[in-house]
Amino acid sequence: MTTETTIEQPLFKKVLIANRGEIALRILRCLQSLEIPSVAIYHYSEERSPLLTQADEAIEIIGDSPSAAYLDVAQIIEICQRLGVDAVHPGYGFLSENAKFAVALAEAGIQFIGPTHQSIDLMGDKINSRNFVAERGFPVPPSVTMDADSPEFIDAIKEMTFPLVVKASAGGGGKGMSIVNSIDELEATLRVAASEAEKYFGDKRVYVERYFESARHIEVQVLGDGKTVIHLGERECSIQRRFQKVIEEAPSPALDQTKRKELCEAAVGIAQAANYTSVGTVEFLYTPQGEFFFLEMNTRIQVEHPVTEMVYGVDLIAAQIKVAAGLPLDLAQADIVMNGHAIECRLCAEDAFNNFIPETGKVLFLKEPAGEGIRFDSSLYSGQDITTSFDPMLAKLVVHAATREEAIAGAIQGLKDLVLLGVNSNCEFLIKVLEHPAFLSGDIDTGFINTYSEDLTANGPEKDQLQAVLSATYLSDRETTLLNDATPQPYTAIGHWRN
Amino acid sequence: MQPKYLLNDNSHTVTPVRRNDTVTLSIDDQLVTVGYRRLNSHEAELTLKGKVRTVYVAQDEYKLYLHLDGKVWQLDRLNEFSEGSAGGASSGSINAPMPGVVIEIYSEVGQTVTQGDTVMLIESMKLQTEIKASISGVIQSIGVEPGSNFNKGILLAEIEAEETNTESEE
Repeated sequence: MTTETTIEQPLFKKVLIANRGEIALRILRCLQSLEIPSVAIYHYSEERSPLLTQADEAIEIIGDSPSAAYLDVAQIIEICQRLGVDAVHPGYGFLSENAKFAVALAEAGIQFIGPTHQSIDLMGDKINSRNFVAERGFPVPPSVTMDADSPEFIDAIKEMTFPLVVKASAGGGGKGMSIVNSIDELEATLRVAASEAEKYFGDKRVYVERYFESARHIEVQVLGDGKTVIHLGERECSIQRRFQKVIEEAPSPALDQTKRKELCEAAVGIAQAANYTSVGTVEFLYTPQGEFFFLEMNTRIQVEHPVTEMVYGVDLIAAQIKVAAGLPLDLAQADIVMNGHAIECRLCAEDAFNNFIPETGKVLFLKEPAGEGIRFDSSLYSGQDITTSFDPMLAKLVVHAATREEAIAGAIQGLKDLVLLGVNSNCEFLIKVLEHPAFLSGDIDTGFINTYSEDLTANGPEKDQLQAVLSATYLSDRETTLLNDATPQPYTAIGHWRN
Repeated sequence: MQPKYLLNDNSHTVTPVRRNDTVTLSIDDQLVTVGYRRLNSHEAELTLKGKVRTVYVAQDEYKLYLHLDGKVWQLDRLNEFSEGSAGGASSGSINAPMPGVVIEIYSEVGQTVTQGDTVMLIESMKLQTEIKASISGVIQSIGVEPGSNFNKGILLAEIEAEETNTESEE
């Protein structure tokens, strides 16, 4: 991490963190390192979060549901005005890619720590952004765009090769997407797609593009100040389930230096064309033949940003805040040097061995993994209720090492050292993925979890292990220990106390 | 005290046999001798067949969580009453199949319902699911309210079977 320069005057008077969970704490640490006063917002269901005590000020927000509270633009702006906040960091999710929020803040004289609202608008619409990118000569996947209920839609699509993916133009983060394998499936999907897209995103336009079953998802981190755009290499994010990323790494095992340069320069070109200001991510599909196609651009800091930070030694959130404060980039492309390999695992409250059904519970005991090269981004605390009110992601384990092999080994060890009791997580599933020979070989694509689903199943205990588990359970069970402690004498004396 | 523990849907019996420096237990009718040293309220050292393992434990009533050999094990202690009375096919208890939120409740306490009637509508993983009456009878209790979040396994509603008259419903 960089940013240890002396700052004579803080970049902002006060920054409000319009988010929760691990990213809110991550932003808070960054504000502290930049000596910027902070304001946290919280829903009462999270009033015991460490964020509240660590931020300079913490204000409760009210909503019909916990997540609605974090989406309440008017309420957040009112808090900013009341407390003299002059900038807002939106994190990821919630209001981070909401152009209306950026506009409302600007009208109130508050800086949105992110790109301009024009960039959010342009890149937030999948159809417009694809057209924008294609017009500038960058490759996009073959596709057809139309109102889903338009009668010519099916005819236009008949020319294309299956499988296809149907996407809502206004969708994002894996929502509003489905894969279809035949014309019948396509007709059925289109019938519901338009109404669903309108219901969830207020925009019924959908588009259909070729779905590459064995393609990788590779994305490039960019950073721009409105004049210059630089890249900080790529991240490989092919390990996904239902379009949700599970494990990410940097650099991608698929790219050599020539391909890396080609891909990263395309990303810089796209961001430059959009006069991009702030951190952003250009996502590509990468085929086994080495072709790449623009997928979309994310105009926010991403969940998986730490792998880039660890490989390039740059604090991306600090860089984002500096650009938002109007400073020019203090990094040139030549300063960006890759060092080693980093892997991130998303720890989620879900039953990964049973259709990823969400798990709930209470954090009864937590021991975070630690050690050289290990970063654990989390806002977990003892006694925390894990509910379905928010996204199931609990924490991120990020491991940096000299080589990919060492980073994988470190991540496996870190996951085994992590002790989280009281809510079931996907920890064992993550270990299974990391230990899989195909993952180790680096030969991965977005179908990985489906392809190897038979290998990615829970192991029952071995006999000795079962006996160890049951003995420890019995000997730690408060019910039995209370009883045993109360009756020590007869218990020892009885000896064979069996029927 | 002869507790039974449920692990991955299998139930296991653990019975104390002897306790000296080590503890002898009968686990599923096999004798096992272990050393168990509590280090603090959540950490212990377990010795079994010469192998020493660090164990982390936590408990929420009948639910026990252990971390051992690099992974978490979750067990439920079954008490004498839970077997046979809850969860069976003929049970009137409707437990939540997964965590979620209540959208709407269509029944009230005291109401007579027929097996298959929709009692409430829940949402989980962005999917709405109808919760149906498991048996015909009278609703004894409803454990949730519209809008409330619930965890997997909690009692959503309880129906008491009608003693008579079930045949003439249709």
